[in-house]
Amino acid sequence: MAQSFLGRWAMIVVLAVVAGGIHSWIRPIVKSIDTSKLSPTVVNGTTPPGTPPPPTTPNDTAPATGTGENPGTNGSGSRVLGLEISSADAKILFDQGVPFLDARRHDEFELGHVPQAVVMPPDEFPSRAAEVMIYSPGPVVIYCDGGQCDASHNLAKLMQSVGFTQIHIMTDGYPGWKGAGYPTDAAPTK
Amino acid sequence: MPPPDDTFETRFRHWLLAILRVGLGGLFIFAAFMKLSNPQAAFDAVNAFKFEVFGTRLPEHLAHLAAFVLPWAELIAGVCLVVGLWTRAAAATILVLLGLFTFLIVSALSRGLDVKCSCFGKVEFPCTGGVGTCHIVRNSVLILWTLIVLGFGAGAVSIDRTAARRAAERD
Repeated sequence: MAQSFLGRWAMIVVLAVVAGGIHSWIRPIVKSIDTSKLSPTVVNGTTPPGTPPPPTTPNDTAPATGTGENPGTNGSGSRVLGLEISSADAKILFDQGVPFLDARRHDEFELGHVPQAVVMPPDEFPSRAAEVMIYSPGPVVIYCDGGQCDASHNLAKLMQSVGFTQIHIMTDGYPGWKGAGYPTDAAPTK
Repeated sequence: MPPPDDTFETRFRHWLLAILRVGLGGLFIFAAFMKLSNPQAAFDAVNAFKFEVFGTRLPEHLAHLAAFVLPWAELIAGVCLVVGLWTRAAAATILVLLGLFTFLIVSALSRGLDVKCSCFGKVEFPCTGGVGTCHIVRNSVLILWTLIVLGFGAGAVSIDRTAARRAAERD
Protein backbone atom coordinates (compact mmCIF):
# COMPACT_ATOMS: atom_id res chain seq x y z
CA MET A 1 0.00 0.00 0.00
CA ALA A 2 2.72 2.46 1.07
CA GLN A 3 4.78 1.31 -1.87
CA SER A 4 2.00 2.04 -4.37
CA PHE A 5 1.36 5.44 -2.72
CA LEU A 6 5.03 6.41 -3.02
CA GLY A 7 5.21 5.01 -6.55
CA ARG A 8 2.19 7.08 -7.64
CA TRP A 9 3.51 10.17 -5.95
CA ALA A 10 6.88 9.71 -7.65
CA MET A 11 5.08 9.21 -10.98
CA ILE A 12 3.24 12.56 -10.59
CA VAL A 13 6.52 14.31 -9.73
CA VAL A 14 8.36 12.73 -12.69
CA LEU A 15 5.51 13.64 -15.05
CA ALA A 16 5.58 17.25 -13.81
CA VAL A 17 9.36 17.50 -14.21
CA VAL A 18 9.25 16.01 -17.73
CA ALA A 19 6.29 18.16 -18.87
CA GLY A 20 7.72 21.29 -17.24
CA GLY A 21 11.18 20.59 -18.66
CA ILE A 22 9.86 20.19 -22.20
CA HIS A 23 7.65 23.26 -21.84
CA SER A 24 10.54 25.38 -20.54
CA TRP A 25 12.64 24.23 -23.49
CA ILE A 26 10.09 25.21 -26.16
CA ARG A 27 8.77 28.41 -24.52
CA PRO A 28 11.36 31.20 -24.48
CA ILE A 29 11.72 33.32 -21.35
CA VAL A 30 13.47 36.68 -21.17
CA LYS A 31 15.76 36.15 -18.19
CA SER A 32 17.57 39.46 -17.95
CA ILE A 33 18.18 42.75 -19.71
CA ASP A 34 20.79 42.58 -22.46
CA THR A 35 22.57 45.82 -21.65
CA SER A 36 24.92 45.50 -24.64
CA LYS A 37 21.93 46.21 -26.91
CA LEU A 38 20.79 49.33 -25.07
CA SER A 39 21.47 52.83 -26.34
CA PRO A 40 22.34 55.56 -23.84
CA THR A 41 20.52 58.90 -23.75
CA VAL A 42 22.55 62.12 -23.88
CA VAL A 43 21.19 64.97 -21.77
CA ASN A 44 22.35 68.49 -21.09
CA GLY A 45 22.57 69.64 -17.51
CA THR A 46 24.24 68.52 -14.37
CA THR A 47 22.99 66.47 -11.48
CA PRO A 48 22.10 68.69 -8.53
CA PRO A 49 24.78 68.76 -5.82
CA GLY A 50 24.34 66.21 -3.07
CA THR A 51 22.42 63.78 -5.27
CA PRO A 52 23.66 60.27 -4.59
CA PRO A 53 24.66 58.25 -7.67
CA PRO A 54 22.37 55.39 -8.64
CA PRO A 55 23.37 52.06 -7.08
CA THR A 56 25.45 49.83 -9.30
CA THR A 57 24.15 46.32 -9.87
CA PRO A 58 25.39 43.51 -12.11
CA ASN A 59 22.67 44.55 -14.57
CA ASP A 60 23.94 48.11 -14.73
CA THR A 61 26.51 47.77 -17.44
CA ALA A 62 24.86 49.92 -20.06
CA PRO A 63 27.46 51.49 -22.32
CA ALA A 64 28.65 54.90 -21.20
CA THR A 65 30.29 56.58 -24.13
CA GLY A 66 31.89 59.32 -22.10
CA THR A 67 35.55 60.08 -22.62
CA GLY A 68 36.19 62.33 -19.63
CA GLU A 69 37.35 61.34 -16.17
CA ASN A 70 33.80 61.32 -14.90
CA PRO A 71 32.03 58.24 -16.30
CA GLY A 72 28.80 59.18 -17.98
CA THR A 73 30.00 62.54 -19.28
CA ASN A 74 31.21 63.22 -22.77
CA GLY A 75 33.46 66.16 -22.02
CA SER A 76 31.17 68.81 -23.50
CA GLY A 77 28.89 69.44 -20.52
CA SER A 78 26.29 66.96 -21.63
CA ARG A 79 25.93 63.65 -19.86
CA VAL A 80 25.22 60.10 -20.94
CA LEU A 81 22.55 58.18 -19.06
CA GLY A 82 22.78 54.40 -18.91
CA LEU A 83 20.21 51.86 -17.82
CA GLU A 84 19.93 52.85 -14.17
CA ILE A 85 19.45 56.50 -13.34
CA SER A 86 18.75 58.58 -10.25
CA SER A 87 15.53 60.49 -9.67
CA ALA A 88 17.43 63.73 -10.41
CA ASP A 89 18.38 62.43 -13.87
CA ALA A 90 14.84 61.14 -14.32
CA LYS A 91 13.59 64.68 -13.59
CA ILE A 92 15.77 66.00 -16.42
CA LEU A 93 14.18 63.48 -18.77
CA PHE A 94 10.74 64.29 -17.36
CA ASP A 95 11.29 67.97 -18.18
CA GLN A 96 12.23 66.97 -21.73
CA GLY A 97 8.90 65.15 -22.12
CA VAL A 98 10.25 61.62 -21.96
CA PRO A 99 7.38 59.19 -21.17
CA PHE A 100 7.33 57.47 -17.78
CA LEU A 101 6.01 53.97 -17.14
CA ASP A 102 4.91 52.93 -13.66
CA ALA A 103 5.57 49.20 -13.15
CA ARG A 104 3.81 49.00 -9.79
CA ARG A 105 0.37 47.60 -9.05
CA HIS A 106 -2.72 49.64 -9.97
CA ASP A 107 -3.63 50.29 -6.33
CA GLU A 108 -0.15 51.68 -5.61
CA PHE A 109 -0.27 53.78 -8.79
CA GLU A 110 -3.59 55.30 -7.84
CA LEU A 111 -2.25 56.41 -4.47
CA GLY A 112 0.38 58.53 -6.20
CA HIS A 113 2.52 58.52 -9.33
CA VAL A 114 4.65 60.64 -11.63
CA PRO A 115 2.36 62.97 -13.64
CA GLN A 116 1.34 61.54 -17.04
CA ALA A 117 2.91 58.18 -16.19
CA VAL A 118 1.31 55.09 -17.70
CA VAL A 119 0.67 52.26 -15.26
CA MET A 120 2.04 49.03 -16.74
CA PRO A 121 2.62 46.13 -14.34
CA PRO A 122 4.93 43.63 -16.09
CA ASP A 123 2.32 40.85 -16.12
CA GLU A 124 0.00 43.10 -18.14
CA PHE A 125 2.62 43.97 -20.74
CA PRO A 126 1.95 41.02 -23.11
CA SER A 127 -1.68 42.09 -23.52
CA ARG A 128 -1.12 45.86 -23.40
CA ALA A 129 2.17 46.25 -25.27
CA ALA A 130 0.43 48.16 -28.09
CA GLU A 131 -0.31 51.02 -25.68
CA VAL A 132 3.37 51.84 -25.25
CA MET A 133 4.74 50.82 -28.67
CA ILE A 134 4.24 54.44 -29.80
CA TYR A 135 7.21 55.30 -27.56
CA SER A 136 9.50 52.69 -29.19
CA PRO A 137 12.52 52.61 -29.34
CA GLY A 138 12.64 55.12 -26.50
CA PRO A 139 13.78 56.87 -24.47
CA VAL A 140 11.44 55.82 -21.69
CA VAL A 141 11.81 55.88 -17.92
CA ILE A 142 10.47 52.99 -15.83
CA TYR A 143 10.06 53.05 -12.09
CA CYS A 144 8.54 51.02 -9.29
CA ASP A 145 9.10 51.26 -5.54
CA GLY A 146 12.88 51.41 -5.60
CA GLY A 147 14.94 49.30 -3.22
CA GLN A 148 14.32 45.60 -3.82
CA CYS A 149 11.48 46.15 -6.26
CA ASP A 150 11.98 43.97 -9.36
CA ALA A 151 9.04 45.20 -11.42
CA SER A 152 11.03 47.88 -13.31
CA HIS A 153 13.67 45.40 -14.45
CA ASN A 154 11.00 42.84 -15.35
CA LEU A 155 9.15 45.40 -17.46
CA ALA A 156 12.41 46.65 -19.01
CA LYS A 157 13.42 43.21 -20.26
CA LEU A 158 9.97 42.67 -21.77
CA MET A 159 10.14 46.05 -23.51
CA GLN A 160 13.60 45.27 -24.81
CA SER A 161 12.29 42.03 -26.29
CA VAL A 162 9.81 43.99 -28.42
CA GLY A 163 12.32 46.53 -29.72
CA PHE A 164 12.88 49.23 -27.10
CA THR A 165 16.54 50.20 -26.93
CA GLN A 166 16.56 53.41 -24.89
CA ILE A 167 15.29 52.28 -21.52
CA HIS A 168 16.09 53.92 -18.20
CA ILE A 169 15.21 52.65 -14.75
CA MET A 170 14.78 55.17 -11.95
CA THR A 171 16.43 53.09 -9.25
CA ASP A 172 15.15 55.03 -6.25
CA GLY A 173 11.63 54.58 -7.60
CA TYR A 174 8.55 56.56 -6.73
CA PRO A 175 9.59 57.03 -3.06
CA GLY A 176 12.83 58.70 -4.26
CA TRP A 177 10.95 60.87 -6.73
CA LYS A 178 8.40 61.95 -4.15
CA GLY A 179 11.06 62.43 -1.49
CA ALA A 180 12.98 64.78 -3.77
CA GLY A 181 9.91 67.00 -3.96
CA TYR A 182 9.24 66.47 -7.65
CA PRO A 183 5.67 66.79 -8.96
CA THR A 184 3.27 63.93 -8.30
CA ASP A 185 -0.26 63.10 -9.24
CA ALA A 186 -2.69 61.01 -7.24
CA ALA A 187 -5.54 60.79 -9.71
CA PRO A 188 -5.55 57.74 -11.96
CA THR A 189 -4.15 58.82 -15.32
CA LYS A 190 -4.51 55.55 -17.24
CA MET B 1 -30.77 -3.29 7.01
CA PRO B 2 -28.71 -1.54 4.31
CA PRO B 3 -25.11 -2.67 3.77
CA PRO B 4 -22.52 -0.60 5.67
CA ASP B 5 -21.49 1.19 2.49
CA ASP B 6 -25.01 2.37 1.73
CA THR B 7 -26.10 4.22 4.87
CA PHE B 8 -27.00 7.89 4.69
CA GLU B 9 -23.95 8.84 6.76
CA THR B 10 -21.58 6.92 4.48
CA ARG B 11 -23.06 8.36 1.31
CA PHE B 12 -23.02 11.86 2.80
CA ARG B 13 -19.35 11.41 3.77
CA HIS B 14 -18.45 10.13 0.29
CA TRP B 15 -20.20 13.00 -1.47
CA LEU B 16 -18.69 15.56 0.89
CA LEU B 17 -15.25 14.12 0.16
CA ALA B 18 -16.00 14.24 -3.56
CA ILE B 19 -16.91 17.93 -3.34
CA LEU B 20 -13.76 18.71 -1.33
CA ARG B 21 -11.60 16.71 -3.75
CA VAL B 22 -13.04 18.22 -6.93
CA GLY B 23 -12.96 21.72 -5.42
CA LEU B 24 -9.31 21.38 -4.43
CA GLY B 25 -8.39 19.91 -7.81
CA GLY B 26 -10.26 22.62 -9.69
CA LEU B 27 -8.57 25.35 -7.67
CA PHE B 28 -5.11 24.02 -8.52
CA ILE B 29 -5.98 23.49 -12.19
CA PHE B 30 -7.01 27.16 -12.28
CA ALA B 31 -3.79 28.23 -10.51
CA ALA B 32 -1.71 26.17 -12.95
CA PHE B 33 -3.56 27.52 -15.98
CA MET B 34 -3.04 31.12 -14.84
CA LYS B 35 0.71 30.53 -14.41
CA LEU B 36 1.21 28.52 -17.61
CA SER B 37 -0.67 31.13 -19.65
CA ASN B 38 2.01 33.67 -18.75
CA PRO B 39 5.27 31.80 -18.00
CA GLN B 40 7.28 35.03 -18.10
CA ALA B 41 5.29 36.41 -15.16
CA ALA B 42 5.69 33.05 -13.36
CA PHE B 43 9.46 33.20 -13.87
CA ASP B 44 9.60 36.80 -12.64
CA ALA B 45 7.47 35.83 -9.63
CA VAL B 46 9.84 32.97 -8.72
CA ASN B 47 12.83 35.29 -9.13
CA ALA B 48 11.25 38.03 -7.02
CA PHE B 49 11.44 35.80 -3.93
CA LYS B 50 15.27 35.97 -4.23
CA PHE B 51 15.45 32.46 -2.79
CA GLU B 52 18.84 31.61 -1.31
CA VAL B 53 20.42 28.35 -0.18
CA PHE B 54 23.35 28.85 2.20
CA GLY B 55 23.67 32.45 1.05
CA THR B 56 23.72 31.55 -2.65
CA ARG B 57 20.95 32.82 -4.89
CA LEU B 58 18.91 30.21 -6.78
CA PRO B 59 20.55 29.98 -10.25
CA GLU B 60 18.50 31.48 -13.09
CA HIS B 61 18.17 28.19 -14.95
CA LEU B 62 16.67 26.55 -11.84
CA ALA B 63 14.24 29.46 -11.43
CA HIS B 64 13.39 28.99 -15.11
CA LEU B 65 12.72 25.28 -14.58
CA ALA B 66 10.76 25.90 -11.37
CA ALA B 67 8.52 28.41 -13.18
CA PHE B 68 7.35 25.56 -15.42
CA VAL B 69 7.62 22.45 -13.25
CA LEU B 70 5.62 23.84 -10.30
CA PRO B 71 2.54 24.78 -12.40
CA TRP B 72 2.74 21.45 -14.24
CA ALA B 73 2.80 19.65 -10.88
CA GLU B 74 -0.27 21.66 -9.86
CA LEU B 75 -2.00 20.82 -13.14
CA ILE B 76 -1.29 17.06 -13.03
CA ALA B 77 -2.20 16.74 -9.35
CA GLY B 78 -5.31 18.90 -9.93
CA VAL B 79 -6.53 16.72 -12.81
CA CYS B 80 -5.87 13.57 -10.74
CA LEU B 81 -7.96 15.02 -7.90
CA VAL B 82 -10.86 16.03 -10.15
CA VAL B 83 -11.17 12.58 -11.73
CA GLY B 84 -10.30 10.82 -8.46
CA LEU B 85 -7.26 8.98 -9.79
CA TRP B 86 -4.35 8.37 -7.38
CA THR B 87 -6.16 10.74 -5.03
CA ARG B 88 -3.87 10.38 -2.02
CA ALA B 89 -0.68 10.72 -4.08
CA ALA B 90 -2.11 13.81 -5.81
CA ALA B 91 -3.13 15.31 -2.46
CA ALA B 92 0.40 14.63 -1.15
CA THR B 93 1.82 16.50 -4.16
CA ILE B 94 -0.46 19.47 -3.45
CA LEU B 95 0.56 19.32 0.22
CA VAL B 96 4.26 19.48 -0.68
CA LEU B 97 3.60 22.42 -3.05
CA LEU B 98 1.59 24.29 -0.40
CA GLY B 99 4.35 23.67 2.13
CA LEU B 100 6.93 25.03 -0.30
CA PHE B 101 4.84 28.11 -1.17
CA THR B 102 4.17 28.85 2.49
CA PHE B 103 7.86 28.49 3.32
CA LEU B 104 8.73 30.93 0.50
CA ILE B 105 6.16 33.45 1.75
CA VAL B 106 7.41 33.25 5.35
CA SER B 107 10.99 33.49 4.09
CA ALA B 108 10.18 36.59 1.99
CA LEU B 109 8.39 38.23 4.92
CA SER B 110 11.27 37.50 7.29
CA ARG B 111 13.66 39.18 4.82
CA GLY B 112 11.36 42.20 4.46
CA LEU B 113 10.70 41.60 0.76
CA ASP B 114 7.65 43.23 -0.78
CA VAL B 115 6.70 40.69 -3.44
CA LYS B 116 3.50 39.68 -5.13
CA CYS B 117 2.32 36.13 -4.55
CA SER B 118 1.24 35.48 -8.18
CA CYS B 119 -0.29 32.28 -6.77
CA PHE B 120 -3.19 32.57 -9.22
CA GLY B 121 -1.40 34.63 -11.85
CA LYS B 122 -3.08 38.00 -12.29
CA VAL B 123 -6.06 37.03 -10.12
CA GLU B 124 -5.63 38.04 -6.49
CA PHE B 125 -8.09 36.07 -4.36
CA PRO B 126 -8.84 36.29 -1.50
CA CYS B 127 -5.61 38.14 -0.60
CA THR B 128 -4.56 41.26 -2.48
CA GLY B 129 -1.29 43.17 -2.66
CA GLY B 130 2.09 41.90 -1.55
CA VAL B 131 2.51 38.66 0.36
CA GLY B 132 1.52 38.86 4.01
CA THR B 133 -0.36 37.22 6.83
CA CYS B 134 -3.46 36.78 4.66
CA HIS B 135 -1.49 34.52 2.30
CA ILE B 136 -0.22 32.40 5.20
CA VAL B 137 -3.75 32.01 6.62
CA ARG B 138 -5.12 31.14 3.15
CA ASN B 139 -2.39 28.52 2.64
CA SER B 140 -3.05 27.09 6.11
CA VAL B 141 -6.73 26.63 5.21
CA LEU B 142 -5.69 24.97 1.94
CA ILE B 143 -3.27 22.69 3.80
CA LEU B 144 -6.08 21.64 6.16
CA TRP B 145 -8.36 21.04 3.16
CA THR B 146 -5.64 18.93 1.48
CA LEU B 147 -5.04 16.93 4.67
CA ILE B 148 -8.73 15.97 4.77
CA VAL B 149 -8.54 14.67 1.17
CA LEU B 150 -5.22 12.95 1.92
CA GLY B 151 -6.56 11.32 5.06
CA PHE B 152 -10.03 10.24 3.93
CA GLY B 153 -9.46 9.48 0.25
CA ALA B 154 -11.39 10.09 -2.94
CA GLY B 155 -15.05 9.73 -1.91
CA ALA B 156 -17.86 9.33 -4.45
CA VAL B 157 -17.56 9.58 -8.24
CA SER B 158 -13.91 8.71 -8.47
CA ILE B 159 -11.77 6.29 -10.46
CA ASP B 160 -10.07 5.16 -7.23
CA ARG B 161 -13.40 4.15 -5.63
CA THR B 162 -14.64 2.42 -8.79
CA ALA B 163 -11.38 0.50 -9.06
CA ALA B 164 -11.54 -0.49 -5.38
CA ARG B 165 -15.13 -1.74 -5.79
CA ARG B 166 -14.22 -3.79 -8.85
CA ALA B 167 -11.23 -5.27 -7.05
CA ALA B 168 -13.47 -6.17 -4.11
CA GLU B 169 -16.03 -7.80 -6.44
CA ARG B 170 -13.28 -9.86 -8.08
CA ASP B 171 -12.15 -11.09 -4.68
